[in-house]
Amino acid sequence: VTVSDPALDPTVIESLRQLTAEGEPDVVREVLALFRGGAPARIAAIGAAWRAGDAGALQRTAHEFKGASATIGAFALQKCCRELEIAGRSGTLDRGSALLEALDAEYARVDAAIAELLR
Amino acid sequence: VLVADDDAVSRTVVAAILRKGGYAVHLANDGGEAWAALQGAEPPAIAVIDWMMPVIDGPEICRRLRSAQGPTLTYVILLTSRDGFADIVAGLDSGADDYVTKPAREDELLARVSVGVRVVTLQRTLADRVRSLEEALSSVKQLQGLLPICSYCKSIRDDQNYWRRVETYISDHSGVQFSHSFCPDCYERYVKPQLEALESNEAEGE
Repeated sequence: VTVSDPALDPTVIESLRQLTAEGEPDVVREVLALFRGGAPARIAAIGAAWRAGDAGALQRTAHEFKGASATIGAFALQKCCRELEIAGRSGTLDRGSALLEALDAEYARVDAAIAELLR
Repeated sequence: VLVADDDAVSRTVVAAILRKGGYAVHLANDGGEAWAALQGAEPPAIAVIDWMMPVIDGPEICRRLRSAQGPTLTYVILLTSRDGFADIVAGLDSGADDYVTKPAREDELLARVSVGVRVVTLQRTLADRVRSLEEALSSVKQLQGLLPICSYCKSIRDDQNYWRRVETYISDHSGVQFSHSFCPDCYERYVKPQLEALESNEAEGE
């Protein structure tokens, strides 16, 4: 994944848009708002698990956020989560700090992209 | 269709896919709610259940369903993460009918749900057929064994040693009613000569 990749995959966003039924609220707006509403708490939980040295919790919280990221097409964010999940599973928490920084940076990109779409 | 997923993002997308596919969707936010819906008066025919959920996880719901399954079958599709191959085997072992990897794709999910609809419909049709056959069987009076029959007039000897007309005997021992008619051979052999005799009598009378 390079920085030039879009934070949100346009194909995924378009397929979500196609799910909106006539006269119903836009599925893209609904899903992105839900994602954005839950993301800060999820990122905080991942960070807290790492700081507590709780590998099991790190694996679980990173896994959950990975699923939500993939659903909205935030593939770079999904990759950050996967690395944290693997770190949790293998119990190698020493790289955690760098991985969490990458997660924060990528989420900032996703958040901006969502803001743009919801505007 | 029941959609059970604690992740609101995934739950919303799965529900939107199924609604677009024309299904009525019932939502559950965790395994406890899902289990309550499955135990309700009208359990859903299809359930799309996330593997990892608080209260009761997906495989545990499958195990409980399979050990408590009554006459109505619920077809269970587990949602698993893409890299969880071990999860897939464990999920199917726990009693799931199928699985879909997350994030669910619209075409794949709808295709798998329609397989579920086919299985559930087939199962219900078979259950209905078995029920109606059982009812029919209980209303049929038994008619089997060795019957003594007269070689000439075809009367049947009953348990009380009476010789009875074959149609009376069968009517008494089954739900069969007879309507009397004649076959083409007997028409030629018996009815026609009688009609001709009748006509010639009438002609002579005139």
